[in-house]
Amino acid sequence: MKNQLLIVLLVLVSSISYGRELLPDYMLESSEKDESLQRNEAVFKFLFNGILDGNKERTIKFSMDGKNYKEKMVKNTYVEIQARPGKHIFQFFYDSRHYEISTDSILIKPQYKDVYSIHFQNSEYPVMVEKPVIYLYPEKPTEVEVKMNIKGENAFMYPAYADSWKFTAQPNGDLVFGDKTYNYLFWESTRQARNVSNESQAGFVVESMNVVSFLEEKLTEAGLSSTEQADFITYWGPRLQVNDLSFIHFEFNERCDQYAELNITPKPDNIYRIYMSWESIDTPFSCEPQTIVPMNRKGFTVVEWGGQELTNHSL
Amino acid sequence: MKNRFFAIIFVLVSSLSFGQVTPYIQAIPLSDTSVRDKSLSKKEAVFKFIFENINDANTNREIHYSIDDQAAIVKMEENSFIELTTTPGEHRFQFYYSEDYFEINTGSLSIKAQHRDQYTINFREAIMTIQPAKPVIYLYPKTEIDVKVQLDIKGTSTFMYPTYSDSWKFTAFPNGDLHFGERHYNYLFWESEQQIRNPLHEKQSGFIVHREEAVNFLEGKLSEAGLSSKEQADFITYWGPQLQKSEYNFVRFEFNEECNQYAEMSITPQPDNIYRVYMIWHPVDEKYKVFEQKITPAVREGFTVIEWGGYEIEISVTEQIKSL
Repeated sequence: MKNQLLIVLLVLVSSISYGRELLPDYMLESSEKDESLQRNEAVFKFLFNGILDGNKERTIKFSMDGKNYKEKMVKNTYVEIQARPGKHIFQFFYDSRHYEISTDSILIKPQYKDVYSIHFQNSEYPVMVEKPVIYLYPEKPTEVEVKMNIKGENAFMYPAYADSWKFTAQPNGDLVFGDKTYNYLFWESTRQARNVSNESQAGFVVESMNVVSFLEEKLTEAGLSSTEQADFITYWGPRLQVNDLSFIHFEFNERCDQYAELNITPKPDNIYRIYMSWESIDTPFSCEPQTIVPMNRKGFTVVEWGGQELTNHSL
Repeated sequence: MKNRFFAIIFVLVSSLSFGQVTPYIQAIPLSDTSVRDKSLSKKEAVFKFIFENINDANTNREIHYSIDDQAAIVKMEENSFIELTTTPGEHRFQFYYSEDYFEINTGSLSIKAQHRDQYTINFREAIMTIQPAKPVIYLYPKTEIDVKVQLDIKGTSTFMYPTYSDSWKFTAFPNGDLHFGERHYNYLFWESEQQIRNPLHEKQSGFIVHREEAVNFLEGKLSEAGLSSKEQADFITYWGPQLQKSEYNFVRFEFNEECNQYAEMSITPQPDNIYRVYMIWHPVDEKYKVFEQKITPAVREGFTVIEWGGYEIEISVTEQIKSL
């Protein structure tokens, strides 16, 4: 204290949850009698909130009592549906970027107009694609250019990347940038990802105490060298180990183009990419074990690994 | 009623004095008692502050305080309280006992004429949980040699790689390869969790680093320290993205023996040179002046061992409140 010159606010724990907000999916806003309706008529008005797009001509897909309909929104925000008085069940689907909403059985009285607000929630959320590192092993010293087309934002790349990385790659994996030598190229970025239900995917449920042996086994199966494995395990191991249980799913090769496309000149004989998506889970579930695609390390070989933590979105 | 004696609002912030940052607690306490005292003049009012939760054997405690930004040091009466005579109206106070306790800011306190208001100031020990992250150890012997590395980690070990049992035993090569039987590594890795006192003290030097300068800054300082480009890449790809998360960070390094507070290393055979560099950092809201820290360089002669690590200083608000 003494001379208090400035006060600096520490931004402490800004833990933003990207999970679904705790808003009700739908809510009755008003219920009014409308004498202009017949005694065997009633009207639902559904107001749609939370749709995040610039679409000026939104169409809503919905089902009433199991029958499917498609309707253009009035004023781009609502639809009115005539129904018989009584109980009805609705489902609303806007697009794959928003969660589908199902109502319980809702009751409407004759000659009534009930207004419901429907709160759509975005099913995409920012996911950090973490620490992809790229190793290159040419057969002889080779001038290489690596161009990345990263499908995300706020990329961190190392060494400095300007349009491309240009360097001399050595057979032992050394990447020589002038007077500096590296073992790998590094990039990281944040992208919007679709919420995927992992339960439907093949993968592995791994206990905290087995994390290291699990990773060593799978990465050996994949064909990563022990030094590559160490980079992977010292990065992800501590993160996975704090979870009692994790669900782990790998993606290989072309599947990794969704994170970034690699463009390497001269063309390597073999490019192998392996990404690990994982999430902390509370209870084990049975899933089909995933088959590990092994790499081919013949000729000029490029190996990349990365991964992402998925936050659990199911409420 | 118990809560009445405690502060009601805690905002954990950092305060800057002479260019260094120490965390403090901002509290708006409720007065314990407020009584009229007709012996005071109409232009007078008296604050009595009772200091609690100071745990030391000092029988001559002094308190640093400021009232409306006027600073002073006084001896505590009965080693536990002070009385300050002031004017009626609003006043702000700050209390600082020692670097072992968080500073306390009261916010604005209102007092009526001819009144004696008593407040209890609860000091909080400046102890925090840190996670020395990703210390990695490189070894470069002059010739192929069998090495044993033992770590005496001062906290709780949370992750070590490769597998550590009592020690790491391996064959080290001059190019830095560490052979554990069939498996080869570039480094040894460990991570832990430990409780320490606030490591940021007064008049500490360091650096204020802007997000966009983070990589250049690290390359500059680590080159000065003597880390190789590969070692720098391991460091920068780990810390760089983290330093870029906030606009400004305060960064300070610790070298060699200073790092024994996290773990002591015992290496057989004894290396000619062991160099350790840890980076301690936390986000700050804006740039301010700090004395630039001098970088201790590595001596890379003979059998050389290099270790780097670091941690972010994070003080959890909930933890602070919980322990009050």
